[in-house]
Amino acid sequence: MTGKIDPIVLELIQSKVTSIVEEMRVVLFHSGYSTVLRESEDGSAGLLDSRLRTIAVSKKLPLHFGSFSEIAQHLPRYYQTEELEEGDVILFNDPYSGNVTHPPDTVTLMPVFVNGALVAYSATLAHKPDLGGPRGLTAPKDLWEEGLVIPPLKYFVRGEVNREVERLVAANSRIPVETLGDLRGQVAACRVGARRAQDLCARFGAETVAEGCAELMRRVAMRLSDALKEMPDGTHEAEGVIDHDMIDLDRPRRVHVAVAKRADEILFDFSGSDEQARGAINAVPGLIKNTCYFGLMAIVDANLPFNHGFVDVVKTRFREGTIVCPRPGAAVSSYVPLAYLTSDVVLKALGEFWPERAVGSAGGGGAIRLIGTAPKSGKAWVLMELLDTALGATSTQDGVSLIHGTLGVGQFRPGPIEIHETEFPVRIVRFDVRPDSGGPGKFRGGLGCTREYQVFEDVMLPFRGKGELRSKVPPWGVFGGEPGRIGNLFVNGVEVPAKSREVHAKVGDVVRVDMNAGGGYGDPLERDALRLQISYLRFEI
Amino acid sequence: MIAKPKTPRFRVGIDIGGTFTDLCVLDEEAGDFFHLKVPSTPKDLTRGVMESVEAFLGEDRSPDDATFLFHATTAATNALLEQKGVDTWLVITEGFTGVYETPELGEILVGSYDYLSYPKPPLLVPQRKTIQIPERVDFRGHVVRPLDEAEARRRLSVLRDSGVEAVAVCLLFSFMNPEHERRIREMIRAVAPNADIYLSSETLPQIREYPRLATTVANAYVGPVVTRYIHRLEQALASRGLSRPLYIMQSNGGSLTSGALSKIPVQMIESGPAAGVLAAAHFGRLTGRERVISFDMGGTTAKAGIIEGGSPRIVPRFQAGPWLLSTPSLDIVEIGSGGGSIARIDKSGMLKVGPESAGAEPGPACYPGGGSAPTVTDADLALGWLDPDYFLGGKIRLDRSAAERAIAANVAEPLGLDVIAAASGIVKIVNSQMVEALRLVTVARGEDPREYVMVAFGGAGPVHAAAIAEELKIPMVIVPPLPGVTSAMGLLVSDLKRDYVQTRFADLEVVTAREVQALFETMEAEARDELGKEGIAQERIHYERSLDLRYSIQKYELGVPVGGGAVKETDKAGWRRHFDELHEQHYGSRAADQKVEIVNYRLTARVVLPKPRVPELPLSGEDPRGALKGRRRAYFDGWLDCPVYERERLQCGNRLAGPAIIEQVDSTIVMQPGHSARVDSYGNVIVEVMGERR
Repeated sequence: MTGKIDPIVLELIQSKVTSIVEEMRVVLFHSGYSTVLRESEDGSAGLLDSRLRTIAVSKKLPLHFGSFSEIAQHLPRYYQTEELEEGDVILFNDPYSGNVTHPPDTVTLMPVFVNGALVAYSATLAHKPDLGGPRGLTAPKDLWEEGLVIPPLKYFVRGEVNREVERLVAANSRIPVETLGDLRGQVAACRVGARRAQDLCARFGAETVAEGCAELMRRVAMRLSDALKEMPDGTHEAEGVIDHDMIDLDRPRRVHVAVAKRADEILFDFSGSDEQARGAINAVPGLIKNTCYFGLMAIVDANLPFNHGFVDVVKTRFREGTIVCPRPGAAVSSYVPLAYLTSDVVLKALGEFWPERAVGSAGGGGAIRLIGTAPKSGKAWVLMELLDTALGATSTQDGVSLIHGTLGVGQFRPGPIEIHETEFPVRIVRFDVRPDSGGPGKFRGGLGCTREYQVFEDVMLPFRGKGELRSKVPPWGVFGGEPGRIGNLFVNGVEVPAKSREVHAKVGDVVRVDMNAGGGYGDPLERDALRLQISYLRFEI
Repeated sequence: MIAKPKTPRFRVGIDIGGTFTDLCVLDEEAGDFFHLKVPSTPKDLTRGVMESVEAFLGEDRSPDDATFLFHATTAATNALLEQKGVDTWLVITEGFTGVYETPELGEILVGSYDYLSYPKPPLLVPQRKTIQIPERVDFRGHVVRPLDEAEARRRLSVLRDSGVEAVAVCLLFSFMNPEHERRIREMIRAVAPNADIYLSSETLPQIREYPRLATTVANAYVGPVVTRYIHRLEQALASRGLSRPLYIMQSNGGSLTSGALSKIPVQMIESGPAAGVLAAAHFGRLTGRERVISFDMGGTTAKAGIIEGGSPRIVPRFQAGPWLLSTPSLDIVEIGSGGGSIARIDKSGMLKVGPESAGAEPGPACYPGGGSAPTVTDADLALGWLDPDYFLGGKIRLDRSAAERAIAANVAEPLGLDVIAAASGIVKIVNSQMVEALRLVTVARGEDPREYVMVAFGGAGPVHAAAIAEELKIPMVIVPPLPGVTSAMGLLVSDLKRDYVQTRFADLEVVTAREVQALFETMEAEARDELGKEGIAQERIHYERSLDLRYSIQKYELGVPVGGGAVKETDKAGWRRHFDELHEQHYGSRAADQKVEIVNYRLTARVVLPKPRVPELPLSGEDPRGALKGRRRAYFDGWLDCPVYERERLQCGNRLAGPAIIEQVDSTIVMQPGHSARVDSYGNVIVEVMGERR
């Protein structure tokens, strides 16, 4: 089972590569200019081998685990390995050329050389404060309405910045200083990763490191295969529905997965999903694959590190022209609701194989934006915050309340009320747990929240739709558990019509947002007396 | 006839750790130390303390001879981490039950979760024990919804006869206007006169509702436990004639009297680890070093702290288990591995060390009655680094063959290695974990470890320190004379310290010097009053002022020190400049055109205690052979014949060359091949980490 590599060296390499990507992530958030990047920590770092296979990726954002795994398929269209030199940094954001999210996220990729040979790559993915695109209301109908599209190109050449690229980026950004500053931060993080990868090679030898990394991938693949063998064979399907694509408001969109598992092989087939949308809710396959990696990791072993071993084991199938595999050029900037939903759909299908590890649907994501204009100065302001939904119940415990969606676990939280009120013309008059919102079950889904904003200036709120586009099929329960309650938006107690695209509130009005709850697990009648009492103490019933 | 009173001369430090309670006494006249370890007594911590005190006094010493009594304790830590605090209720502004459910999380939880049942920090107060009060204050401190007294009284009446022991009160914007919180305290007293009441406006009058609430709740939850503990301990000490005030170490690296601490018991959480960092700073100072990494490796965990400019680095909040507490604390990173950490093969066939620990029960495989799982200590023993017959000075006899059997069965055979390769691997992996953790407190924060020295202590610290320092390219390791009781020694060099904070927003250009001065003076008056009640004369108190500033677009602040004395209008430009520089240093940019705001005023009140005189040893020759106790084989990527020295017999000026082993009662220093060492005039062993090895 062990190759010829020394098992002690193997573990040392594992601990080094893990720490390299975490150190890169710290640098990423401490050298950028914009507060968006620094405070939301919306970004990831990775280390890849010479064949662009992921060795390690920072752990904070599960939705980004496989972010660098698509590069290998696309980069050769732009650069051959021989064209890459020491000190080069490749930059891109095109979702159809290796970036798995949307244009506001940029990827930097730096080849790492030892004695003139390309031995690895360091890479980062991070959200940019502004790369053009619509401001506010327009719903993009294609990729080109979503901002500047950058195919893989050399941002740094042999250690020197390519000024022409910077000029182009600056000319396409509303806040060029911050945007370029953040890009430089990504490069700084890549350089740190490259230097540490070189140190690692100096210590153990580049060949040993390469062998060790390949062995680490094999081990993860093996561990996954072993776990799959324990799982009963079969095929299970699951689907979820997005209310609409934000343009065609009457047409729900369905994501469907059929999971076929035999021995140690598993295939996630998404080809039964609906046709791609005109609106920006589409997601590219690279991102959808992440929901499969994450789903398997969550069910099999949360301590398993992510590396290329997952890519080797997890097979996927897509049909071009669907919402999860749009044709190049389709808009993707609002991919988040579909990404969260798909992760719940994948977990639902996997749960059918393994009931004791199943989980009710999470409530997903959600955010609120209040856009106002100061009457005196005419200066625009935006209060934007991510709000918490809840997790679904498992076979052993109630779902976690007030948390931001499955794939973002613990990552995002609303801003402090006391800071908001100090800085914006609003008063938050209520921030409560939504009692009784979690789906009933033997174990109850997590509870959502309710937040009310009284505004002291007129504001506009862009509105995606009821319950973050999940009202048609609310977050489901499993094995007899019931769905969680769906969220909604109200002004002065009056529900905002489902088809509204924007909502206006006047001075003194109160805007209320209710957030989705999670689904339950098992028959509610089986809930035992002790749990009922605990629920009572926790104010949950 | 009048007898001339004898001058008291014993400075006493007692440090309770997870496994042992350490006593360290400095005889200020003779300049020597008395020290001992007794097992900690978790069920009643005072027992271990009194046992150590008895052992000291028993040798014909008078309690009247004590000058100072210092104490570091796990009482608050255990109550919080084991969730053994008291029955606590929470009082909040009506309509805000979501605040406590939406925690700010520290780095530790991130990336180490079970995705499907994400472990939020447990709520120390359930929602049913949360009382909502109709009232509201706005961001300027104006009352926008008056406190409904009749309704409040009605809702608080559930506390009557409820047996409640502690109540935390946290209303929105109470740091701007504490009146409603104070009024509610009176109402609670009327229905629950025996409950301890903690107001957020007193615990942490600082903006951001979640950290203020969570810290106030933690305060209430551990408060009565800690108060009872201190009371019992003071009584026990007094009954033994020790009536000096008891100074207790806080997370911020300063001591405080029990009376002043009763308001902020949560400050005692990092009591012991903070004492260790203080000790490292002290030994750094003695050897003329201002940049020090303190490295304390014990049985179950290791702790690393950073000292810059001679002072421990302070952070505004720290992580205690899953909870993030917003009280100033020394910047200490805890690593879940130590001598007792267990080595095992995981499901992917990889060798992992920790975080599971054999603890004191059953202990490493080599201990008498030890477990079957191999630990780091077993590996150290198999490599010949520890002497089976001289562990804890021979108190415990270690079984080398049991260690080897455990390593063979659980690590070597599954991996197809021999026992020594496996033991060496266990040590390399645990060292690598330490290296990565130390990188996070240095390199990842822009500090170069090559500019630091390491002070290594704890039972396992000196065994592993030199190899760890070598990998980080730290040039020097200082091992203090008594590594096993170094934290207790840190207590003896502490000052009294109390931190205050007050949020008050202001545009730096608009605020007047007089306003700034007035707010600092109010805070100083509070400090004077509080410390005065503890019998401290006001002229002994020194004040350190600072302001937390930020660019108006940003959410986070940086602290800028403000000189003492009257604030002048011209000072503001200096603070601004200092802030721009700090911002550039931390984030790589400055925004000279951006407005700067004051967010928090901070005040540290410090009472400098007289420091013990540290006697210097007479210089002796370079030759260490007088301390040679024998030779044995030890493994450093190959078996080498090493001299073994007895620490107690080494003389100032002695020089040693690695590989070598220096044994003492409470620890063992392992010198790697190529390293050299000398003994300085304070008895420190100073290891020079030379060259590069694989």
